[in-house]
Amino acid sequence: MTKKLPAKDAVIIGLGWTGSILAEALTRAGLDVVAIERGPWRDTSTDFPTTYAPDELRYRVRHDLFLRPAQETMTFRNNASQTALPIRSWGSFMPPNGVGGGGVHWNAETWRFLPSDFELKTHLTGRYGAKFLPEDMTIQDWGVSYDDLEPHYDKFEYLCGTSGKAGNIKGAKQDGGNPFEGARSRDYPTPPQKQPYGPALFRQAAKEMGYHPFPQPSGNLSEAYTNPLGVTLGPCTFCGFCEWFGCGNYSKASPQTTLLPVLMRRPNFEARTLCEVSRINLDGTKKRATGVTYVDSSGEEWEQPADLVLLCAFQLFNVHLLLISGVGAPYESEHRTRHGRPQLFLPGDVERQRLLAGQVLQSFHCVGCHRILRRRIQRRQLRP
Amino acid sequence: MLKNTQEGFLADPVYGGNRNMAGWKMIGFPGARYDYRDWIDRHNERYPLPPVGIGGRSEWNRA
Repeated sequence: MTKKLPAKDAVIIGLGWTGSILAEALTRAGLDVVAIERGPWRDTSTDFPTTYAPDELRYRVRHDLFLRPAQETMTFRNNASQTALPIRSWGSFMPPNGVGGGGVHWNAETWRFLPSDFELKTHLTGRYGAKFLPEDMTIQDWGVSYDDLEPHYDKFEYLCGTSGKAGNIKGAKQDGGNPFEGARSRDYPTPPQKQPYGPALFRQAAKEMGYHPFPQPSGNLSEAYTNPLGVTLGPCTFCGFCEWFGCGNYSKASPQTTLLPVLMRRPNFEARTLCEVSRINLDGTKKRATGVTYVDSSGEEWEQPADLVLLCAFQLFNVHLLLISGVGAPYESEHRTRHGRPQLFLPGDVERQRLLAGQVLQSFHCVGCHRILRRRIQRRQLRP
Repeated sequence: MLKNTQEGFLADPVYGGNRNMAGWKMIGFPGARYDYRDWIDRHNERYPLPPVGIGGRSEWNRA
C-alpha cells in the first residue's frame, strides 16, 4: 500500500553534484525541496576520515563507495547476438552510491570543454570538408555554445575553489596556462597545485619540444579556500588517494566540501537516504510529471508528489528511470553507430618508462589530478 | 587466486596479510601516509620514512 506524502515544490532524484547544486539554487529561491537518494548518507569525518581513507583494498579494489550489484545489477553484451551478463566488478565506468555521488570518488580534474567541442560537427566539417564524417557517424552540434556555458563553468570553479592557471582571460593569452582553451571571464580561484617530480619532468621536456604544457585544473586545492557559500576547503596534502576514494582532508571539491554543509541547515531542504525511486509518476496526459514513487530501506512504498521532478542520478539510471516510467522510447540498438566514443590518451606506460628511466619518481605522492604521465589528459565523449 | 594473492601481499596489514609491510617495503610504498606537503617539491629524492599502515606500525604498538 503506497502512502501519499504532502506535496513538495521539487523532488530531486539522486543527491550528487547535480542534485546538490540544484537543491542549493532552488532552496535559495525559497522552494521546498526533497532529495531522494538510493545510497547511504556520507560525510568526511564518518565515512572517509584520514585515519582510514587510505585503504586501497576497501576503496580501490573492492569499490566500497560504488553501487553494489545487490542494489542494481547491470548487464552487458558486446553485440545483440550475445546474452547480456551481469557486471560483477566495475571497470570502464564507476556508478557511484550515496550522498555526494560521483563527487565523492572523482579525482577532481576540472576541465572545461573546448569551444569546438560544442559545435563538433560544424567544426570538423568546416575544417576537413563535408565528406570527412562517415555517414553513420551521427554527431551533432550541442545547441549551446561555450559562451553560453562560460558563466556556469566559472560559477562551478568558484564553488569548488579549482586550482589552475588561466590560458585565456577575455581573449588575452596568459603565459603558463592552456593557450588553446576558450576565453575565461577570470583566472582560477586558487593557484595551480605544486608539481611532483614526474609531471615537472614532463613539463620541462614538453616545453623544450616547443609545446605548451600547463598545470591541469585541479579540484584538489593548492591552498585553503572559502567558497561563495561560506564553506571552507583545506589544502591538499598530496596523499594520492583521490580517485575511487573520498578525501579525508576536505581538500577535494565534492558536495560534502562545498554545498551540503549549507544545504543541510536550510529548513526548506530535506534529504531522504537509502530510498530508491522506482518510477516517475505522470498525469493523465502522460506529458507532465506529478512526482515520484519510492521505496524506503524497510521496503515501504511512498508517493512523493512535486511540481518539479529533477533527474540527478547517474546518466544511465536517469535514462532507465525515464524508460520504465513511460517517458520517451528506447532506441533500436541496431541503429547505434559503430563509432562509439573516441577518446584521447597521452602516451602510455612505455613512453613513461623510457622518459623516466633511472629517476626516483615518488609516484605515490601525488594528487589524482597530477598523474599527468599516467592518466589520460582529457577524454571527450562524442554524444550520438 | 592471483587477485587474492596480490591483495594479501599488498593490502594494508589490518587485513592480516602484508606482514611487517614486507610487500610495501619491497616496492618502496610508504603506505597509509596522508601528508607529503614537505616532500612534493623535493624532486628526485628518495622518501626516507618507513611505511605505516592504517593501524600504525608494529613498533608503535608493542606493549
